[in-house]
Amino acid sequence: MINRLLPALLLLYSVSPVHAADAPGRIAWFGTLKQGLAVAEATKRPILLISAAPHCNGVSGIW
Amino acid sequence: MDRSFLSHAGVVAASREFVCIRPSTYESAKEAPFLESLFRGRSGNLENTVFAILAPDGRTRLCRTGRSPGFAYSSPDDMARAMQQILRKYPGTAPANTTLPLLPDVRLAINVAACDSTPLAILYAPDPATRPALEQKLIGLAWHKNLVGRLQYCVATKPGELKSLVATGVRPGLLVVQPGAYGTGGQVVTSRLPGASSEDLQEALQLGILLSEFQQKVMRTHVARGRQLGINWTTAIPVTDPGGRRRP
Repeated sequence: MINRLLPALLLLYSVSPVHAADAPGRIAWFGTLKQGLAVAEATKRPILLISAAPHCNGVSGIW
Repeated sequence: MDRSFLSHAGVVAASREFVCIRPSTYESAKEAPFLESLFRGRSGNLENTVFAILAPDGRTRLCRTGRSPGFAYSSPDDMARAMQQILRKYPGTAPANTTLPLLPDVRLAINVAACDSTPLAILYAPDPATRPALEQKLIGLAWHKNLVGRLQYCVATKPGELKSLVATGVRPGLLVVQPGAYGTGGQVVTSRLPGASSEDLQEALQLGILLSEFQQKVMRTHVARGRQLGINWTTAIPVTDPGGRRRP
């Protein structure tokens, strides 16, 4: 299915006014405390932390 | 999460010099006490979201902690300014972009990717020897200016970890997954072998991003439809948010 759609998607991408390079930026998150705290300690960089539940009243796929 | 703060251009720009950590609440018994130490709600328990800015030691608080950035800052501009001030005091001694930012396992990573409407990149390495070279290439791509923050990443080492994926003939290497709307499964939309070039890997990641751009969600309809479909996410530890208890 994806293979059949690929040419059309790439064409759409090539004419799309919003490419990845132009898209609004997003924060890059470390997904675990263990890894993130280790990187912060090693690099002496401050930490931006937000924890969130990946479900709403048990329905997943949304913060 | 409060996207008006976390999607603000000034906050995103400043975040590149921070180490940004987003644990998933109620998904780790080990992480919960740390989160509780930062903020408990009126009920005295861990709530769905916790916000903090901390010094590199992971203990010193650099802002008022709370449930969201709005507890500490009057506006996204205010938060961006505060982050820049913090960076003057803590400029860092090394870049933070030399590590692949990982989620702990495939199951949770698919769900987080669905929540963010981003693709998931799985480094599938049943043979540990194949992991380092591919991971090194992915690190460079994960922090590339065109890709940073636009995908989730995790590692899988056993075929059983991929059981929720729709895929044929999965081989070790990079698997780019389009998560289902509810994050309980996903489809491998493209893959690359461990020896693929960085350019080839980047093309695969960008295809995943392109596909994810077609996803849009509205909280109310997403939840209502999820209930109709019987979606019921099982958390690792009990939900203690007064407004966020799971249905019986």
